[in-house]
Amino acid sequence: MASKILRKLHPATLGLVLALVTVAVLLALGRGQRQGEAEEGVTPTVGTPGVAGATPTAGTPSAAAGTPVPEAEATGGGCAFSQAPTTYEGPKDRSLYRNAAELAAFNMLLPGDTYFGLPPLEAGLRGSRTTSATASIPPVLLKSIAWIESSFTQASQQVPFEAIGPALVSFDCGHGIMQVTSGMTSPLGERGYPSPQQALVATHFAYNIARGAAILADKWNSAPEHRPIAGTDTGGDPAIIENWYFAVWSYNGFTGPGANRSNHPMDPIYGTWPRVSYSCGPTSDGLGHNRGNYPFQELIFGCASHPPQVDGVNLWAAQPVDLPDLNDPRWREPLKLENFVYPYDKMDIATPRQPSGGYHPATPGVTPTPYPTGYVPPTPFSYPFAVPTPTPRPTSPATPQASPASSGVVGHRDPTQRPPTSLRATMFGTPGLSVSTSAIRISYSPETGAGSTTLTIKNTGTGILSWLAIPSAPWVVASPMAGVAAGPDLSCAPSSPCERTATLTISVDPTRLPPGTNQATLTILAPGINRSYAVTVTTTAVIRIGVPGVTHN
Amino acid sequence: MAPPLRLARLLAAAILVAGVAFGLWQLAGGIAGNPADLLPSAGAPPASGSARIVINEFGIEADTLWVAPADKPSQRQVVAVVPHAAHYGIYATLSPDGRYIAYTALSPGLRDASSDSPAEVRVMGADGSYPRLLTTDADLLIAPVWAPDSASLVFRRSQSRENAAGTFELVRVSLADSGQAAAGPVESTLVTAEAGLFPVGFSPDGERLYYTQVSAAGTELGQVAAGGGSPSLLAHLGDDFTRDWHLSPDGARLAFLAPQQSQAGTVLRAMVMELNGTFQLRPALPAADRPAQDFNPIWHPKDGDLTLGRLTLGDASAPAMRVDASGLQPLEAPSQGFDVPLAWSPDGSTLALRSFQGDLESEAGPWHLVLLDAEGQRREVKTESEISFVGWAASGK
Repeated sequence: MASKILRKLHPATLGLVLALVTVAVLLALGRGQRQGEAEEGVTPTVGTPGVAGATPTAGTPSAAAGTPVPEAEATGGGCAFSQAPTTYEGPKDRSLYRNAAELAAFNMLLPGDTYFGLPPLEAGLRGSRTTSATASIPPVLLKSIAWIESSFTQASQQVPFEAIGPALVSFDCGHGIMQVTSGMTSPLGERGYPSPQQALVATHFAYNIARGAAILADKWNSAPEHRPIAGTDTGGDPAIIENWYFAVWSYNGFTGPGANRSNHPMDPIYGTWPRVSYSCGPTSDGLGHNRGNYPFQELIFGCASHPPQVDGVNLWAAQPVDLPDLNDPRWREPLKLENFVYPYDKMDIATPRQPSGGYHPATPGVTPTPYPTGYVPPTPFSYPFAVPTPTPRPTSPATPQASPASSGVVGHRDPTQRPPTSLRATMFGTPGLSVSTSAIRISYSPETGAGSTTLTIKNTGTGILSWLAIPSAPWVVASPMAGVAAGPDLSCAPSSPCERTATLTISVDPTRLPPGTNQATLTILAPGINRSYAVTVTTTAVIRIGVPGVTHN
Repeated sequence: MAPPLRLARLLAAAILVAGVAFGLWQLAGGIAGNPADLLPSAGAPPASGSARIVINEFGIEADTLWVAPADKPSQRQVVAVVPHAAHYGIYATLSPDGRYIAYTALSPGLRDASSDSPAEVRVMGADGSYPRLLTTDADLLIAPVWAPDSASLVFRRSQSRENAAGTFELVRVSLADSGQAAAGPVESTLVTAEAGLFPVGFSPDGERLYYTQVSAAGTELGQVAAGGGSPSLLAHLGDDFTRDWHLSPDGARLAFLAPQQSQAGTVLRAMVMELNGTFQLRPALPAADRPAQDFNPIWHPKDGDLTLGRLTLGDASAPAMRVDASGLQPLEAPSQGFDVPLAWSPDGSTLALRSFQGDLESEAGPWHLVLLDAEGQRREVKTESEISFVGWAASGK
């Protein structure tokens, strides 16, 4: 048939057809090649540059209402949970989380709790530190950290606001709003299971923020033994935002020079110099937005000064915060590379501040650093020209204007008022635990495979009920191991996945199942309210041994 | 008529078979799997004779690479839209021949990215065609460094450690190898150290890679054979952080910034080190009579002269300075603020620079990308969000 058609075609037409066929084949193959390219990446559908004018299709933050929430996400192993627990994501305006951050900053969320409460903050200079039980964290720092770490979200990016879905767990086991990593990199509970504290950090925004605040406070208190002090001229007062410079730096990590997380402001790993201030505001504001260009503490201070907007509204009032003036020996000398060595005991600095209207003169008494080894003085090299005299500023002479230092006001304080005590109740509600059954039975045989069943966990009260399922035997598998059941007082967006009753699938791990009938207990813990519920799990394994047809129960 | 018709049919069939076979062969990677082989016209310059810039405009979830003629920067065209992990943009460089763009990026699927998340390195034609993944565990913040022949590049890989230096590697990838091995591109680790490594650039003949090594002892300059071998430290650049290292076109000198004490405190001064064996180190300029900061000393591609930014306290505006045998030549100044040079065009006629509106390094204010031509005309490259300069594309001449 094909040969008949070819025979009837004019040679020129035939050539044209052949050329078109060849082009079509090449185009088709070319499309296949691009798809193949994409498959090389970590994720098949993203990460490949689009063609000219293409619109990116991935990386969108919270999906629109009605978008189905993916099944529980694997955390990549090595974290506290092998599968991300479920959590509740609050309203888009972050009002719930902002309130929690302010309560946490003033130690009003879980005071006295050794894990979630703030420790007394130290103040003073090296060698004369004292503690204050009433000191607090500037709230704007917690809010800025929450935004930088997670965009102030507790759940995975695919979970809409006012909905329930998998918790946000990063590749390095950072959990939730504050991206709590410390204590979340492996299960720390009994018999290798996650601990109740880990469940609370992963599932409940208030515990997560409280834990993040406690970690930041620990970073503050790690000076002077393991970290430098900022604020040597202000008594290391924790009420001054700038004095948190090293604590915030430390929240992200103190690594060596040149490292990706060096966070040293002079490190060449941050490639653009000079840097404009970082901003969490609109990308059109003329400031910096690419986070890779900034040390972590500059991200946080910049975000405090240039807050993010949600639907055109600032999430908090812009809070001026100064960075160290790196020309001034008061900051530059301690930050010299030779001092950037654990335990960083030569890096203590005055309260960071910027020059205003001109450079500060060198501080009297500071000995200039000798020229580096190998430096050849310029005398052997003669410049065959004169340096032209710069044109002076026409209007204002180079007279330094009043700076915070010279005006006697050093640093900035967060004006956020201590929240009312009643606000705390709205963070936690009064959850109640109810489990659908006290006994379940699962049968298993090699022929039919593992059976499974479900049970439901209900919150009979209000707020978020965080739960954790801990089996007494390794062959009982609960999925997910932790999650939430939401009370009726929590808002759910229309069409969003927001099943208030948690469903838990119970199955058996055949590789760990002893022969015969087995019984174990699955304990449903509600660590936030110190309640638990025991569910008896009974299973019968049908194992064939020897000649087919002979069954041993 | 029959024999000619049969001949035509045979010829047509042969064309079809050859065309399909050729297409399959091309798409399979050609002879060497080099993007140049994949795409005969990859990155081919357009007919325009004007020098062109490639810039990257940051977006929260995707960056946009643009190309624009230097004399009409508003006439820009999209090269590629590159999705990335939210808030972390790409770090891109143009190959010396202007035909390819290599970049580091965090995968858009990465959850809660940070600057030390494992980054991808990709290469594509300068027109955005045929993106190719080279690796998935590079360091984001170090843009790839190209070999002079544009056939290979170096990226950095590291593992950070709390309160310690961490482990760093400089890894070379030959693009010509990248399509042959089923296992992926062939990598060779050139340098490994427990100190921060930064690739500086290749010698003009491509035989050596210069790098810096930063530790508490200061900044050292090192070199290693591009084909592999024992790396060696050549000179001590300073006891502190140094930065913005640039090799001269002839490979004989290294310019960089190093902190020095001055009347106004610590300032960054442009330094020049001879690489001809003496490793003599000198300031690029004599000290100004007033406190001054130097910025990003770069080399002119034709004359080998230095161009740098110098902000002197009290100046109404601070132009970039060109240092040549006849003296210090201030270039056309901004109406206010100060200029920081980025790169000269390959023909040396146009300078790309960052023009800051502030009058202090510590309060630099917003900045704009400006193209300064030989006549002193300043053309601003207008974008809606922050941009980074990727390089000068081939001129098309």
